[in-house]
Amino acid sequence: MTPRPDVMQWRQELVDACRFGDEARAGALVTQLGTRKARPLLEEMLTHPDALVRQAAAFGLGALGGAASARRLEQQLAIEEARDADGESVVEAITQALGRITESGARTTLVRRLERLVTGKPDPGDVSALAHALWRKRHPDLLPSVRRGLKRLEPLVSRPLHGLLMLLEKSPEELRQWALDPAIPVGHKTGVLSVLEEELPESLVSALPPFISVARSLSETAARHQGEASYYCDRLLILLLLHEERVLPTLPPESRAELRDLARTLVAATALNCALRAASLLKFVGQPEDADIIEAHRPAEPVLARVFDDAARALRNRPVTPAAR
Amino acid sequence: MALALGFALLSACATSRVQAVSLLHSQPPAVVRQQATPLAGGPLSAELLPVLIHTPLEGPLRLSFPALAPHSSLEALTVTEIRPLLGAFDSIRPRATPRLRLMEFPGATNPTQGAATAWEQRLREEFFSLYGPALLPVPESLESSRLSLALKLSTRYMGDGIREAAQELFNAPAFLTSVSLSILVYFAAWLAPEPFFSKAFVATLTVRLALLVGLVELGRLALACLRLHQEAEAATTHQELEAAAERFGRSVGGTALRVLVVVASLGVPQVLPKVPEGGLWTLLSPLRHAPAGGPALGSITTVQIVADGTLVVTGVATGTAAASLCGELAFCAAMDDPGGGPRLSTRYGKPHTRQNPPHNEAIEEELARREAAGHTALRKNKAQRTAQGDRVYDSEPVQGVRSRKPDVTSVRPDGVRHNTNYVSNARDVQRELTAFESMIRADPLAIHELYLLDGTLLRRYVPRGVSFP
Repeated sequence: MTPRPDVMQWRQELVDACRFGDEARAGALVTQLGTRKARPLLEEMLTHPDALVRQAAAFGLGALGGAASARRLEQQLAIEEARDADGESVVEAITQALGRITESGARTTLVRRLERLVTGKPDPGDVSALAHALWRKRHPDLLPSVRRGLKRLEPLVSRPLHGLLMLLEKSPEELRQWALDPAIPVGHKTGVLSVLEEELPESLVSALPPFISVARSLSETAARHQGEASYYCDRLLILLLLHEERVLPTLPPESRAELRDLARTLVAATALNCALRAASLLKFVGQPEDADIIEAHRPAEPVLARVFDDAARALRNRPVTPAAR
Repeated sequence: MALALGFALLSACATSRVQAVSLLHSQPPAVVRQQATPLAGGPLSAELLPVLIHTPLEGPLRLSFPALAPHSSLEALTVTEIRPLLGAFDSIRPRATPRLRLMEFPGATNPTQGAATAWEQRLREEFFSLYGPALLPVPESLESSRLSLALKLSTRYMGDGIREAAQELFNAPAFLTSVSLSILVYFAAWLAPEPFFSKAFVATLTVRLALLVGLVELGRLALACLRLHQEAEAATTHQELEAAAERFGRSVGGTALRVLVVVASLGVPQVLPKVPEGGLWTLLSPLRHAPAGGPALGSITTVQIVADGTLVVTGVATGTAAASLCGELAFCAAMDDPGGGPRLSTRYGKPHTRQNPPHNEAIEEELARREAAGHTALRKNKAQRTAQGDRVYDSEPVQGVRSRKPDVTSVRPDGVRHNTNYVSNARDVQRELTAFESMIRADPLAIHELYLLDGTLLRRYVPRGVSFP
């Protein structure tokens, strides 16, 4: 039976929103309809042959939450895994959706997914997606599975999972000490930062200054070469920009100063990812005089150049903040 | 002897999950309908094996099985679970009282000891009646054959979770003989390149077993049994027989042992009246009761295991619902193979859009080109990530959208990520351009492209210092 026109339109809008990454719009569409009406439509969408529709349905059920959504997504995960390549993108959507559902059943499903994933040679992106979802379900019960998974994965693939393990094992204070330990490989610290991008709990905001100090110490290398150091700095800047409203105002003055120094160094970096993120960050932690250095390293490419221009303009229009000097 | 199919199935176990499953799905899937089993939505349904049923407009059904690890609850087997069976088998032929016995190795001049006893003869007749004639030579006496001896020795090498139960079982002469018969009449069929089961009882049994434990696990056990038979027959010393037994014992886990028990026990229903089939099947189900198969199971006439790892089933009417075949045995989804209309390529992922086949084909062709050029991490319509696999975010999001999903993405041999999008609809050009710019900001180290479907390049971004193409 063909769905009613208004249902078809709702579904198409939801699919479009998910396809273009507009999660706020997609979430609003689900909320507007309400759980009672949305759930049967979303469950019906999960049986649709078009994976874009199934991705949207998985997102919608994740937004609705609840034990019923978790169970339905667990079933769908098994189906999509059996579909091989056809279901890969839906598996990713389900993984993310399960990460958002608070019921403990969702955690169990994700652990099982991890146990299956590590038996092969998984794509690093799939490991990362799962580590992020598991971080949302953080609980000591995860530790044995994560440790077992780490033993089976190659180091290049296991970084996000190692980051997850550190976050699960260590208290905020232990994490601060760990971050400052020069014997710890930078890649492991990068893994922690990338997992925190998914969700940064209040208790861990205070653990960030040591990570900023490490980046400051790596900044000269990071600016000269595209490598481990620049990647670490990039992930730190991504994390800070994702949570800038919450994190930047709470940083102690010395960390803000370090961050400004870091950004001023990195804005001249060879690695454009670092340079771009540094320009964006200077909008928040810089001073009007930093506009000059931003403009001096403005890339020719118009899309990236606009980011530099916007940052320089924002700084010039901003009053000097003594605390940041 | 290591048949091609067995090799393919075992390879599927040994390689990555993605590779393993791709063995099982050589054809692009089309329309998928999921069954609503009585368990759908229940917490236990997630314990069941997910199985895809290809339902063409004409011709037999094809069942595809994922290569999943055996269910943990089936990997142990206790004496308590098999006690009723032990009693039944002991009633056929009581086990010898424990005493010091000299185990004589059946040598080349003495392959077996004596003729089959009356009870063994009766077991043989039951097996041949149900499973059909033996496909491998049957020794005069199975009870004292090398195969039986090797089976008995193998229990020493089985895992802690199953050893005790296995020793109890294999010490029962009637059970040991039944297992030997199972190997000679059922598992021997797996020697064929594409095993074909034309007896309805055996065909149905094969489907039930596959739905419960998967085709990979079943194939692995068959291969282990056949290898044991071959090595036991070839052994000329006790050490060689012991080595064969050790290889077998170490290769058998709890799930495989349970399958052996079920196959061996089903062969003697007339002499095991106290152990009905429903009871036996509880051994192979993570559910706590014997799972009911769908009514369509009863109409299966033949089954063939084809080289791509699927089961081809005849006798089930076209259009049969997945639930009608699987019942509680597995979590099944039916997949309509398209009779007409364009078939969308899905080698690298889902059809991007069914309403726009050229879009999907453009994506598939591009991914095929890249694979040929040595690219890795080929992805289709998944979240944008760095070459290292971490998600990337636009630090200057437009309308709050931080993350995108490129139509095509891969990592070049030199480690550079390469993302490509296609404009599927003219009304979306502006949105696609916005997404393109967002993706550049999110990952300025990657190559980004935006094409029309006719191949016209709209935009391309190549990071400085990176050669292109």
